Amino acid sequence: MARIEEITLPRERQTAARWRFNATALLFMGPAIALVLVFFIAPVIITFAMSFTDLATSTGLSNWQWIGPENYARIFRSQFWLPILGNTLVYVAVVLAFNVIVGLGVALLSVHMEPKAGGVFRALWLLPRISPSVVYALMWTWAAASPPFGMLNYVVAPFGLEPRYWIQSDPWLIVIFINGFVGASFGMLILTSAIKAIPEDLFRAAQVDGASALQVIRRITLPLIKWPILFVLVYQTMSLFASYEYIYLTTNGGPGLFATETWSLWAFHSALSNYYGNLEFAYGAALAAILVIMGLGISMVLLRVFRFGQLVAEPRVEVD
Amino acid sequence: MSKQPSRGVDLSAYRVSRRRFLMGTGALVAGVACSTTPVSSGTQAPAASAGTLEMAAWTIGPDAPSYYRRDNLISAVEPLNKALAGKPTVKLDATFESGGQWGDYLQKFTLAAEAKTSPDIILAGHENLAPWVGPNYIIPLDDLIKKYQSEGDIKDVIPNLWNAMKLKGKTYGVPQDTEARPMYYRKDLLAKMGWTKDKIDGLPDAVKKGDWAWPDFVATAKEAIAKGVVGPGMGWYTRTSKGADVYMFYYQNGGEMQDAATGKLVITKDALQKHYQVHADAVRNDKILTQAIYGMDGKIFDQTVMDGKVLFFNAGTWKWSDWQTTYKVPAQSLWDNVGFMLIPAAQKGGKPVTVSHPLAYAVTSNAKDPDLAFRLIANATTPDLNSRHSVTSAHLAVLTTQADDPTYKQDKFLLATGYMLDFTKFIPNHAKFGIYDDVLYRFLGAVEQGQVTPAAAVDSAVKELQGQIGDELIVK
Amino acid sequence: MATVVAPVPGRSRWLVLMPYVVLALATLPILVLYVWLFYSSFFPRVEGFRPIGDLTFDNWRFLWDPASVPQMRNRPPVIPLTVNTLLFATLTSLISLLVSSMAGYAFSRLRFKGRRVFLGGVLLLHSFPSVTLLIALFVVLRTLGLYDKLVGVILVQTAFALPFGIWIMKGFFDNIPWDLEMSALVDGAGRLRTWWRIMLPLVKPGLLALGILLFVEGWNQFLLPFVFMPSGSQQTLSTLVRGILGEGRFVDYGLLTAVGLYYIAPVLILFVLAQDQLMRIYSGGVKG
Repeated sequence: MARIEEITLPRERQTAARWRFNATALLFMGPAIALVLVFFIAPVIITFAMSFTDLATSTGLSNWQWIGPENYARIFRSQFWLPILGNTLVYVAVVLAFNVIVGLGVALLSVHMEPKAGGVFRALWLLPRISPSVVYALMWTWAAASPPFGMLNYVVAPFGLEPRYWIQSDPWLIVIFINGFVGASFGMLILTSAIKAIPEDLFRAAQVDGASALQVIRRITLPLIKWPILFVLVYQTMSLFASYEYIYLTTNGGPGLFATETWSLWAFHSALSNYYGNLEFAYGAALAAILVIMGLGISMVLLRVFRFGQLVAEPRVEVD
Repeated sequence: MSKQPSRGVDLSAYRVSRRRFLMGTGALVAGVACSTTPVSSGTQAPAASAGTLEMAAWTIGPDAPSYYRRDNLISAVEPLNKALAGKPTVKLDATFESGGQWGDYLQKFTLAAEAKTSPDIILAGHENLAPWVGPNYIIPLDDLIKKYQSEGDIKDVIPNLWNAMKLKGKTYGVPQDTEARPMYYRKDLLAKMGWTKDKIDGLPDAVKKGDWAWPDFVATAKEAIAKGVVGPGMGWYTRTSKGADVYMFYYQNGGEMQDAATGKLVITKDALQKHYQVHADAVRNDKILTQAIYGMDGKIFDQTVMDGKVLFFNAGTWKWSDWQTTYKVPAQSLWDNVGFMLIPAAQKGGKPVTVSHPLAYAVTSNAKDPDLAFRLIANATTPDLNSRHSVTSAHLAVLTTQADDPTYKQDKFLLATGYMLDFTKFIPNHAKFGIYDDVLYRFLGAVEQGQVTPAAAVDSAVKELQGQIGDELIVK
Repeated sequence: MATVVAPVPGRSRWLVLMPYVVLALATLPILVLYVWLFYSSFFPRVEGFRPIGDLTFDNWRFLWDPASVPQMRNRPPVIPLTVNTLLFATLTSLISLLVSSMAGYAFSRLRFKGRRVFLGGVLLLHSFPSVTLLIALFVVLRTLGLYDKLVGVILVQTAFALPFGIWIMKGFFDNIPWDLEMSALVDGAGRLRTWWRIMLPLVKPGLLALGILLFVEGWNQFLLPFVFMPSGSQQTLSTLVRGILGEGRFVDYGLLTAVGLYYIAPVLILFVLAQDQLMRIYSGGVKG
């Protein structure tokens, strides 16, 4: 851990430096702050406010009214909020595990081979992430299709599994796989770079000492990439809470009674996706508000547990 | 970590490239900003000259053969301009969405309507109009219809169709086309089962009269599977996704969807349960319908039924044309092997049903000249224009006069299915119908999957409906 | 700086082969999917792994003869759409880079009030489902007069890309030894000059990698351009693909895979060429 060194400027430059610091900070942060304020903060506030109205396509943007917590009451009147919540937690947990474990696995495996080969594998794993979601989902839909078209059926036939329409019979499997392959690439990317950044001398020293590959991984690699793993964990958790696109494009929350519906998808469906155009913006906003609180809560817990403070190390150069 | 002296670092190599980068980016951004002129959708731009009125219209298929929805409006410009004699001259910018999804199209309109950039004329399903009435996206047309009775062929619109255009007594759309959703059947498979040609040909009539009803339907499908004429679960393929025709079975069992007086949505518990039971039985007990039907890929559905692997299947009348164009089934082969009839009545002696989903042209509140916009629509509503659309896309006539139109008359299929409009029902015009439908459809899926029994489904569904749209719902 | 655990003489062969075998098996599904995408676009129909019909370029005729494709008959031609998509992706990438590298630098080097809050906030912002912001954003864009304009959508996309971009740039800046800056600062160079002249060139790999990722995200983006730029002339390729997907009733998988492949192709090429830079995106990850 690098130590933070302090520089002391001559007295008369100190005050000037501090003043310049705040202005400088403003300059550098300015564009980001402006964008975030206008396109994140403002809409977030508007969305929260909206959740207390009855804004929908039936009211239009000019005809709405304040209705207090009615939307929230309506959410809990639904028989589905609990199952959907359950789905969301399961979805996040399982896909997260897949992402991190597989991502780490691929990262580790791909550095223990010829660099070119490793590169090829990593490139393949990155394909899902860089593909347009529509196209990628299309591929999985086709793979999961019923006979004679679906690919999966041909794959499992030798194992004696009956051919089926996977999206209906095993929707969770599809959901987990499609999201997993995309998410794993994120972890793989980050962790591979992290592993590669570990100075070679450490590895050589270990080899000289006769350590096995497994020991090297356990004792050297893993501890040194602790923070990237943490970053991946936290970032992916929050990503997963908010993600719904692939589910929407394949099972669409089905089949039937919200079998694979997650909270974010529920919000999306209510606010933006009704077959007959009955978009319930305010209701969706209420759902989103709850989602945000959930996401926030979990992130806080995660960050606290992994000591966020250390992740946000103080800046290196402090001019006082 | 090597130390580099602060002075003497040769940055000159960077200098030029940085500047160039900056200039390049700046130029690019400036170029885009300049090229991104404020979008004039035709309704906002000032008229090119005092005597020109520019109008915009949006239409959609999504089936590709329905492009006359746009082209008819374009064809209507000439007669309109002739009538106007230059005061002013109308120019039309009309678009047609081929492929794509209804939801996206409708949302696009909603957002545009709010931003006051919507077109003058919008084509939509009749039930889409209801939610647009509240926020005033579209205008009532009753006065205009009265005023321009003789424009185009407005006065000859099939009367029953106007009902589908009304909300609380006011009319909001002009019917553009309609269709029916028959029950198709494979003649070749029935023949294999031993049916005589007469019996096969006489089937639609028997259904129409109520002589051949749902119990017969189920029995026949079971027999087909038992005899190996079709594979298991392939006796009957119903609709694979959401849509108006799902409600055919609700209506078949006497269900009601809208209260005429108050305009509120209605749910008839008994009918709902029977509707669910029909599906549950088909999938689980009688096993004539495959469980994979719910959410089955549309292309797989079409391929399978066109390959002659399914005995009975539900589809719209427009599919007849689509099967020929997109799936390249020769017309004669279709006539020889595929028949069509109404949905059989629930019991012998009952009334068969089908559902129609008329599309409508509506005039938006953003129209610069509502009178002219309406007149354009009226001029597009003539026997010859409507007929060419009907024939090309296999939709049914909206005008009584179309039955005499030479183009229309040539289409055997349309003529043969025309009678179905006498038995047809519509889905309601209500701003919250989408929510109603969402709940009921989900439970239908659950019933088909065997996740819940029909009785339990009805109770839960009604409870959910009451929780979500309680004040707009009447439970019977 | 490749980290490869070189095989020690005497190490059992299976240990050397093991990574290959395991990874090959794990990667197989992905390979299969993309191979399907590829060859399905050259056949009229594919059942499972078996193509039906002869090898054909028929599906690709949307490129040179769109009029003959029913689904394309009423859409803007492919070239302008491609240009639009390119423009959108490039601009969002560049602007995001600029803003992210400025903010990333600030987070890395400057100490200012609320820094921690900001940093945490940046991460938390990411958790807000972007889709439900859509409606509120509509209001914001309309108020600013940016609705239905390319600029508006670019700004939204840039804003959404910020959390990730800032984190990444901060990471890169963190790994640069501060003595360089210190000397420059002590010598009287302002922060801005230091950043521009010294820091940015040093994080060039990071800029490149991030830029490419952002470009790809912009290229693949569907929801934002579609919802906020509804007029036909400024559509992007993603809308085209989605449009052909239809409502499941009229899907032509041959055509769809051909269009999909066309859409993916530039990104794939880009990735193959710039793979190294991308891998470096989190170089120097030893933190803490």
